[in-house]
Amino acid sequence: MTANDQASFNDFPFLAGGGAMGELIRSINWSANSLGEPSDWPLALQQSVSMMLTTSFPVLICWGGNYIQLYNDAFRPINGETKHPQAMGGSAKDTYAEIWEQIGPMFQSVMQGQTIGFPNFMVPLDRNGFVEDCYFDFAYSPIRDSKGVTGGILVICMETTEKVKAINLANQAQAAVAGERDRLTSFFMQAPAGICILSGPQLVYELVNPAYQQLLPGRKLLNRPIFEALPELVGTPLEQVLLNVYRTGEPFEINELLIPVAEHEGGPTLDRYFTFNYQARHDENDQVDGILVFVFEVTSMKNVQEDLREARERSDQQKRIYEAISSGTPDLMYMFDLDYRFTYANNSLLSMWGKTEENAIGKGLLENGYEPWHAEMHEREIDQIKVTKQPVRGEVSFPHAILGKRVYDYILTPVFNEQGEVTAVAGITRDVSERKELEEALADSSEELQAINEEMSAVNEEQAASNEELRSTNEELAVVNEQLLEARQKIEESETALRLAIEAANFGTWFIHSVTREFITDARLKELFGYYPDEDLSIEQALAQITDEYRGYVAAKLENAIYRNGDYDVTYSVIGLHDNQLRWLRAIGNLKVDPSGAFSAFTGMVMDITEQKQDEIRKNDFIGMVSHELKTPLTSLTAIVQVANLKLKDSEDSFLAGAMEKASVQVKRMATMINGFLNVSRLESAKLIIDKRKFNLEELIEETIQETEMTITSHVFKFEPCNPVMINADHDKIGAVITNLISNAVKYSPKGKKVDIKCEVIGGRAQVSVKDEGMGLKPQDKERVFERYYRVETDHTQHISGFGIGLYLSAEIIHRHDGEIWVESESGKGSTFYFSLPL
Amino acid sequence: METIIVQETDSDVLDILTYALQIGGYNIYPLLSCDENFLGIIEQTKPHVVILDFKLKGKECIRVLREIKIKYPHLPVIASSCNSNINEDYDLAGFDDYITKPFDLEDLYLTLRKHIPNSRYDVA
Repeated sequence: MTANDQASFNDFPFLAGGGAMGELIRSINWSANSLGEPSDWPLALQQSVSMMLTTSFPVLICWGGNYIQLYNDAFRPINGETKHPQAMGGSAKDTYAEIWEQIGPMFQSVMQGQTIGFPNFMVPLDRNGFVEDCYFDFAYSPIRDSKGVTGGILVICMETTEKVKAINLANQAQAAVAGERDRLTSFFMQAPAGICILSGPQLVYELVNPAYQQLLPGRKLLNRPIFEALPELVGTPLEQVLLNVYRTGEPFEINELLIPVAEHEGGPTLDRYFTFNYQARHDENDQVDGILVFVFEVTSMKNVQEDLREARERSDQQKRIYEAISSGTPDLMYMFDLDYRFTYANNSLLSMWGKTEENAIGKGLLENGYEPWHAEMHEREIDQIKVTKQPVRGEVSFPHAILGKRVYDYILTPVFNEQGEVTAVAGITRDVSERKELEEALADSSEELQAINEEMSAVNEEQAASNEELRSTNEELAVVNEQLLEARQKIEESETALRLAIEAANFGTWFIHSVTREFITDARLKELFGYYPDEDLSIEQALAQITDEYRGYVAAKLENAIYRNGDYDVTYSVIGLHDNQLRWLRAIGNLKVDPSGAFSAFTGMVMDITEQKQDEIRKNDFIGMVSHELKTPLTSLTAIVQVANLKLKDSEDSFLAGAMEKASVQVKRMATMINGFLNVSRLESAKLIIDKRKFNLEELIEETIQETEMTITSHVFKFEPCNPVMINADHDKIGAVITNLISNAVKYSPKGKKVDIKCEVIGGRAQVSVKDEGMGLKPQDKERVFERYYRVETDHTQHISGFGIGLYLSAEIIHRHDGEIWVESESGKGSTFYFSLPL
Repeated sequence: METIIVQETDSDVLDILTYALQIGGYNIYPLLSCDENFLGIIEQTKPHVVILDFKLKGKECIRVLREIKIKYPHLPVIASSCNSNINEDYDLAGFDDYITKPFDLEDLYLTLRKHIPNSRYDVA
């Protein structure tokens, strides 16, 4: 503090204190200011300044016509950095030049004695190291002297920042609450789910959103008690549910309720499914005061469930069809998982094992009674399929407890998942014992031919060998002469023996040199090709005689046999060169490498099968002719009956309608029979398929007799009813056998005679007999009646109906059931045909 | 109304076949013999299907079939036959389909509908 200050302080007690601003005022050289020395200041100013420096409120004094400013510590921040300190002692006109236009008139009014205040004026202040928005109430009042003359303006400020902030916060909170309420309402109103609030014990609709209203189109709900708005609920379980939710506060849910909903009032309804959810609403005392109801549409979910159920049903049905197919077949069908366990076995397989699904499925091969070698074989194959993803086919043979040695053909196939991995192995096994036997029989005869053939080529080899020997031993001719003679003799001996055999069989033979294509043939072969014995015959010349139909085929087989060692067993037709005769030939050949390795010898023989072949052609032509002759009248008959049947269906004459219906059935039956017989006569018996199932033989006989009686009235049929006899056999084919035996009995006995049909169980077998009172059979016929075409051979031209296949076919069918068929007969006294089947 | 040319050697069969097809809603041009001028008749009648009698080895009708197929490769020609192996032979010979004799009316209409897909068939 300077001496001057001290002096001023002492001189002007009214300027004492006042902190930093007090010090600043005291330091100012007032003599240079328009206010002049403080001692000369008017009393009112001196008193006001004194008050200003001692109050803690922000105070500003603007004195005189120039509004010279004086302010205290509390006011100082309001002037900020830009206006302080020059404002102190300066004119307010300069300090507030930028707003003087507004303030100037106000100051003038105050100078004329008015008091002006304006509240909550915002001033940005940096009081705590950061700028904040501060608010002040400003009051402008005149400073008057004792005579009431205004000498200046007193500005007092009151900070209202906290108040303003509080008001702002309150406003914000209010806005937030309103927004929240709006959002909630719009959420309720726009929610895709139906929502309503039932309020109070009367359950009055307090809120209903459009989705909820849509469920009850046209109903007035809002502000009405639910049971008044929806009187149909009274007395339903839903009433109790709602009351219970209100009483106990426990939530309740109703799932997938079907409600037909109309898009617009009175419009067509759609079946939709909804889940209702009831929640109790609690007041602040945790007492239930209402129920919140949420309704969700679950139609699409329901539809998906429905689709799923349908899909499952379809797949179940598929499975049942598959079951029906697989259980009806005599083939064995099964499925393994990758651990070699059966996951499926059809009825045929189960009955072969003598097991049921319960004790066989999930078991391995050994557990189901397979021999260890057999089980291991299949396990190996399953492993192989896992790796190769390729099916495996094989044949296996083993003894069967009842049927003897059986041969089975089986195929194991991979079952893939979506990723193409093998997840299981499915298999089918077929009993091919019969086919096998037939093949073996064929192979045996083939082998015989091959054996002769091989013998012949052996001779050829020997010949070649001795030739070689002859050359190489030229020098030692004398020494080996004897040996040579012996060898030649031996060769001649065996050649003679072979030739005799071949000649006896009337075979033609040949030899082809693989390098030179030299073609050596015997006289018989030349004869078969229509050449004279002394003529030369080349391969090309021989091929030229083969008919166009087969030439290319034989040439290809021959080349393949000579150069690639392919098999050679061909049947073809030739036209003889000189005799112009058509012959059917079968040739079998065999390729042997010459010991020298330089060439191969292709040797073989040819036999004349013209007769067999012509038999076959005649048979086929005959069947074609019979087919045509039998079926043509049947065709017009069938069509006439069917058309008549269509026309008579609604006829009033019930006899005609019924008769046509029956005629239609009978004509169809006849067509089926003719087709059946013709088809079967074409087929090799090996292809006759027996489809076994369980049925009552007695019923079948009765049905057959009834059907026969419909068409045949010339004979009396007698059937002694027996007990039901269940057999496992091919129903239709056994029916055909019975029909055949009965129709034979009718055919071969005079009109009015009796036909006796019996069914008995004898020695564990079902035995059926058909007895007629006809002409009977001669002993030599008895032997042959079951042969194929037996009747055809004798008089097929006269009796087209008896083309001799019925009994042959019957016998085939019965034999395939392991049954027996025979006849007892005495010429002139009638015949009894029997067959028996295992039970 | 769709037109069908039907050749059938047996006159009784031809009669009833014609009648059955007429009540099935087709216009029928019946022929007994294979020796007719088929190409001329086809030109004139513009049939949707031709049915030929495949008798015995079918030599005659195969000759007709070839004639037709040279000029009208897309005209369906159906073999009707008593042969039980017609199901194999029809294809080898070049027929589009086959009908076995005796036939079931239902099957007859079904077979024709395969080749005349838009035909209505309503039997009284």
